[in-house]
Amino acid sequence: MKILFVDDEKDVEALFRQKFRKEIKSGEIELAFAFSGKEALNILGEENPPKFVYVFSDINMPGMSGLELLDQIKTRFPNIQVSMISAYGDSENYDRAMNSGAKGFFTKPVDFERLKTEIAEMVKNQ
Amino acid sequence: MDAIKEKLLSDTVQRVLDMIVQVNFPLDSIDAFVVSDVMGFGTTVDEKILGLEGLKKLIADQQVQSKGLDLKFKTSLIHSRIFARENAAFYSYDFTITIKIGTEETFLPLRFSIVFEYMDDQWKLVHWHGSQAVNSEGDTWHRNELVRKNEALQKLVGEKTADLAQKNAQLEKAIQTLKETQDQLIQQEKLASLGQLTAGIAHEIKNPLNFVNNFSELSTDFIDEIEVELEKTAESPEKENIKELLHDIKSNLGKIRHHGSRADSIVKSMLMHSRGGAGTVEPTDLNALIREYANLAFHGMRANKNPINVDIRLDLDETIGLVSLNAEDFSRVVLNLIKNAFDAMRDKISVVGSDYKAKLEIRTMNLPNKVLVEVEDNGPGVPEEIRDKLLMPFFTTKKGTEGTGLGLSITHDIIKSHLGSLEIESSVGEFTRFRIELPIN
Repeated sequence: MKILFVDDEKDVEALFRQKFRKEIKSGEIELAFAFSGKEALNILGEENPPKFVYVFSDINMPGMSGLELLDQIKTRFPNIQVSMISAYGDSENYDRAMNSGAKGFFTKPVDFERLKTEIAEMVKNQ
Repeated sequence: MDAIKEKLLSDTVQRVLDMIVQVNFPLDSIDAFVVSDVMGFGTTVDEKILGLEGLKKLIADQQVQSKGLDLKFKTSLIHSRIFARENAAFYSYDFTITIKIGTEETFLPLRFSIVFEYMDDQWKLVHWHGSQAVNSEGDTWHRNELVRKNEALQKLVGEKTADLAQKNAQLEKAIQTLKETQDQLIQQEKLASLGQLTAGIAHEIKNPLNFVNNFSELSTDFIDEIEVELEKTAESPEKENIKELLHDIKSNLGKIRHHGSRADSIVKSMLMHSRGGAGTVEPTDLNALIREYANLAFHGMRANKNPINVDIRLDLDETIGLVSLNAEDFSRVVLNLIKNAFDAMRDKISVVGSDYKAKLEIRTMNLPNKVLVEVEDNGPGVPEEIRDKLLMPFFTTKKGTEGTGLGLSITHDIIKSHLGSLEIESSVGEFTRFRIELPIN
């Protein structure tokens, strides 16, 4: 199962690759990283239809915000699930994300147990 | 006096009276019975006439002004006299004019004296004097009347002055209010931007801090895995050495994680504080809040530079029960007041020395319809002259960068937002007591 993480912090890649080391090694999941909304859309647009099943995106990013990216993905690739990961867990961001069709909302610092459960569930349903 | 001369005199007198009374009296006939250098006084200041032309002008003006007015004249002779050798005569009259405007009648009492001289077989008017009779008995020189007028004027001036003074005071008060409002707005603006700045900084710190915490946690997990793998290999001195090193690294990672958590909680409280009004008003155990924050403030102070020994006494009235307040905000009030007390008492220790025993008392008390919170220290006290400046934003007695001058101002704002009041009682060298009264609805 292919998952795309979108965050402008580059170290997110190392962190998530290490956190999901076992799942990656066993071939359960495959991770890709984009460091902007634009890059994320490019990666998703490389294949038609894209093999990605799930996108996790930060909200506060330079250029396209995570919420804008959410809208774009929902329009262009309605089958891809999107969840938001944000340091700003205020109700305004939460409501906007959920109303735009986000599957879930994770606050930073990320609760990895919750994230792993979420992904495991998704893998099971594949 | 012979009859002809007497007749001439009475005719001349009558013509003078007619001249004054009749609206259509022919002006060119005046020359016949008035001398050219006639002199007279009228009733008004400007009626001081010298010469025939002046008299003619006066009569002409009078005729113009009388037009359309319903005027009645009544003359009665008071006194007359023919002078010796019968060449001069003098007459005095009471002269009442009744002016009717609509149904209103106004009486104008005048006195009128005229002097005639007999020359070239004719009687001619040489002088007259008209004056208005005013009501001022026994007031020969109008002194009393002047005094009365003066008094009336002074009273009027007094009233106007008082009026002006009052208006002035009102204006000054309005300006004062405006200035205060302006100051408050500026402070609020400053506080708002300060809050935003703090929130921004806290957020920016939070992200790298998350990495520190996450990577240290991950590395700890990896070392656990390495240790499991290592157990599968053959024993050797090198293996023992590796195990020891791994143990140390794990312990170090634990320390990184621990201090990262500490920093994280500081950042969290910074965010909480900068988010003004984020909390909600809820029934709160005020005594518990005071206990918790007094403890926090004390340990915070002990952990910082220049800790002092303080005897803290809590005298909490358990009957106050739950009080409706914004716990997040009100905890700042408690923290600020206690922190200030510590700072003040530290100053006193450095001046007075170790004989002085710092003491802080915090009381709560159930009053009718309100709850009283008192924070009292036996520090240096607050001099009278700066007491009312204490609540002003950016006013501080602390040296250099030790105080922002915001603590008490924010404290006061929070208490006001709870519709409560903050009073400061102090005696220099003895104590300072902050009294907070919170209404219970």
